[in-house]
Amino acid sequence: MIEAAASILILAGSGLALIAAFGLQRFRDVFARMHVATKPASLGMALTLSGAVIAMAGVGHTTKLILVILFQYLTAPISAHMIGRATFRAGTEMDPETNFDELASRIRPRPRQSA
Amino acid sequence: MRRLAAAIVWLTAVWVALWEDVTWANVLSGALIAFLITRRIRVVPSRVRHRVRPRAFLALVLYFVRELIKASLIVAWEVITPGTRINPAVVSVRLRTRSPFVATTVANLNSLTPGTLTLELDEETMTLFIHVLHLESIQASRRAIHHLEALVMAAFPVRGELQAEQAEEQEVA
Repeated sequence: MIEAAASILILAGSGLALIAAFGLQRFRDVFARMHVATKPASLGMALTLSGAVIAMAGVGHTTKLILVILFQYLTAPISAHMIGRATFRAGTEMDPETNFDELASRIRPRPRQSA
Repeated sequence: MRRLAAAIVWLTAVWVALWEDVTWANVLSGALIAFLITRRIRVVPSRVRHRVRPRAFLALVLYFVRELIKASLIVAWEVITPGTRINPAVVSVRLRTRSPFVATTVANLNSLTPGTLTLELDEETMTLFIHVLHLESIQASRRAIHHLEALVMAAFPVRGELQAEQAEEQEVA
C-alpha cells in the first residue's frame, strides 16, 4: 500500500519533469520557457521527493527532504526572476505576438520583427 | 542582536537536519559555520517592520498551494496538447504597498502562480512588470496581482517604520 502510494507520487513527479522538458523544447521564447521551468518542474520535484519520504520513512530523511522541497520553492522564483529580468533588459527577441501594456512598452520597445 | 541569534539557531538547525543526526560534532560545526556565514553576509533589514497574523498567513498559504498546483497543471496541459493557446503579454501593475518586504513576497509568489512570471520591480514607483502566458485581459491580470498583494498585506501587517538611523543600528547589530 505504502509502496503503491510512493510509486504513484514518484511516477507523477517524473511525468511532470518530462513534460517540463518537452515544454522547454516546444515554447517559443525564453519567457514562456521560464514558465515551464519553474512551475511543473518544481511540482514534479516536490512530488518525487514526497514519494521518497513515504518510501523511506524515518525522521531524519523526512526533515531532510522537506528542507529540500522548501529550498527549491524559495529559490526557484528568484532564479526565474533573475533570468527573466536579464533577458528582458538585454532586449532578447520575444515572441512577436507578445502584447504590451502602455508602461511596459515604454521601458521596452517592441521587439524587432525577425526577417 | 535577536535577529542574529535567530539566524544562527535556524542555520544550525538546517545544518543538523541535513546531516540527519543530532551529535555534538554536528551541532558545534553547524554553529561555527552559521556564525561565519552571518559574519560574512550582511542582511540589510527592511526599513518597514511587519507582524505575522497567523490566520491570514494560513489563508495565504492555502491560496498559494492551490494556485501552485493549478499553475503547474495549466502549464503542463499547454505543453502536452497540440496547438497553442498562448497569448503572451507584458503587463505593468502598480502595487499598493510601500513595503519592500511585501513587494518582494508578491513578486516571488507571483512567479509561482498560474501563467505569470515577474520580470522586473521598479522600487521607486512599486511597479511590477509581469510576463503573462495566457492573457485574458490586462485588467484581469492586474486584479489577480492585487488579490495576491491584499492576501500578503493581510498576513504581514506593518508594525511600524524604522527611521534611517535605527535601520543602521540594526545593521550593525
